[in-house]
Amino acid sequence: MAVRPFEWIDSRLRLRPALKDIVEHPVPEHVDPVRHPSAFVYCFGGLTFLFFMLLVVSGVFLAFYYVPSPDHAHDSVQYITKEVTFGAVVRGIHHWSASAFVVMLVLHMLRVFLQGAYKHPREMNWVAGVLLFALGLTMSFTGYLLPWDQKAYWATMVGTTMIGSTPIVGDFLLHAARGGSDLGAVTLARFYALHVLIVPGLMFALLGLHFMMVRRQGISRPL
Amino acid sequence: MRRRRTSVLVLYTHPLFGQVIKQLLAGEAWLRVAAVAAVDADAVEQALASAPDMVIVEEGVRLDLQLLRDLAPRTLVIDLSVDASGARRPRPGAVAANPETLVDVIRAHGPRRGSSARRPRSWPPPVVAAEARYEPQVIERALGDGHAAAHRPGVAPEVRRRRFLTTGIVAIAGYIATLVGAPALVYVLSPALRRSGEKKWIAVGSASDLKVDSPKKAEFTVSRRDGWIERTDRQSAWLVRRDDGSLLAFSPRCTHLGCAYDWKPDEKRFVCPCHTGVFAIDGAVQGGPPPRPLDRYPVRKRADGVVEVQLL
Repeated sequence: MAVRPFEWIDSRLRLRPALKDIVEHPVPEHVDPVRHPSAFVYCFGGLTFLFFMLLVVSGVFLAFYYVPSPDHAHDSVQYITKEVTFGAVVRGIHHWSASAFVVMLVLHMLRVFLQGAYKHPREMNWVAGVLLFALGLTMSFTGYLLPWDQKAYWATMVGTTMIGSTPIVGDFLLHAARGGSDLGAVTLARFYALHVLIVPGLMFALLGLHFMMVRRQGISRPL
Repeated sequence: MRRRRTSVLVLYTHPLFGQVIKQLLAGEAWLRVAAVAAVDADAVEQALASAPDMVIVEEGVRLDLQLLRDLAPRTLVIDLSVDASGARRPRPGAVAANPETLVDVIRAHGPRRGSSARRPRSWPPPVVAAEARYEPQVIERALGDGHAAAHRPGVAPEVRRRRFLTTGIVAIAGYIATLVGAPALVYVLSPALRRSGEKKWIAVGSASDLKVDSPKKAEFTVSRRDGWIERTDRQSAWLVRRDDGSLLAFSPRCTHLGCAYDWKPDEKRFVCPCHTGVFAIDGAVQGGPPPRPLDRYPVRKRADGVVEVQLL
């Protein structure tokens, strides 16, 4: 006798309420673009998350071929782009999603700021959002070095030199960022670890908090 | 003397909620739904202006409840949940309501009838429940058969709309997943899907350098692609030219355990130093432990006299 797979699982794990909670979550009237065309501004946060997920998926697949070593980084990226089937597609998704992610992140932040949505009782969610903004830019900065071409190298040279201009602790921070005085193998390895392990882990945790708080508090109304 | 009916203001974040509550309360003679409005600043103003005895707010948005209580401290506020599935637990301190008990719960927590009609039973007023749900059963019951039958028997249009939207959400999610997932899968499997190229012929020397029945070890380098890396390996082969003009090429490894063997010109045979495996000039085993003759490489002579072999 045929058993429907979803029914089989649902009868054991009771997934339906959780699923309904997602697909049947009612959209509050003031954020419904059908009723209020200007409500499209409430889409920026969701779009930021969409691009974040695209970055996670395409990034995981890039890791199948990418090697973070000065000997291989550039060649492996070229191999992905020019020789692997759909490699240019996967790298393209990662490339364009990265730009779109930052654009949407800024628009989302502007919406929250200009509507005053960071005020009581949502201060903690604003703090989580600002941390996510900082981590998002850290992802951009560390990811930019990984193709290991001239643009990547010199952009990171400029960026890390800026870190070095910090008063008093600048030299220490410069060495910490580069993993030494020069930009080289150690820099590439630590940027890779930050880009694929540390920062994404922190972002997942903060995103969980971000979403839990918005579900608990609701979407703010414009004043 | 006729008692004054309790006036009720219903605030919703989704219009359907207001419709459902109004239908469910229609049979209650002791109360009157004064207004149904969306929860926003205007509705809160209205709550003050019409001075309702009771306000029913959809969904436990604490912000709105606090605002209401601040603006209208004498009004009874019921934070209502309609949950037909019973799958959710009520929030701590809240009382659950489902379609069967909904009116009873409102009645129980509403103002006491009689002389003190406007005073709630307890103060501050209790919060009844937390989460608003839109269950098909609630909607069908509230809207009545006639309403639903106009479109399709037994299924309210809101329910059909809901199913359509759920299917739509799942379909769009599946579309995006396929759009990204399918190329990504081909991308990962690309090395396995690629056809391995023809085996290359490698030039290993000139046929004129080979004397009849005098095997010579040819050393050569083979380049191969390892992903983005070009590797060059040193390889060798034993070349033999027989007196009938035919060429043979042997792998330089003994077929016993892979040691390098050597040609003994005075004995006119190949001898492996490891376990004294012995092969004839045509590769046949003449003694020792080797289980099979020497492995042969495909070999050919080009028109210009260059000998080429194919590695196995």
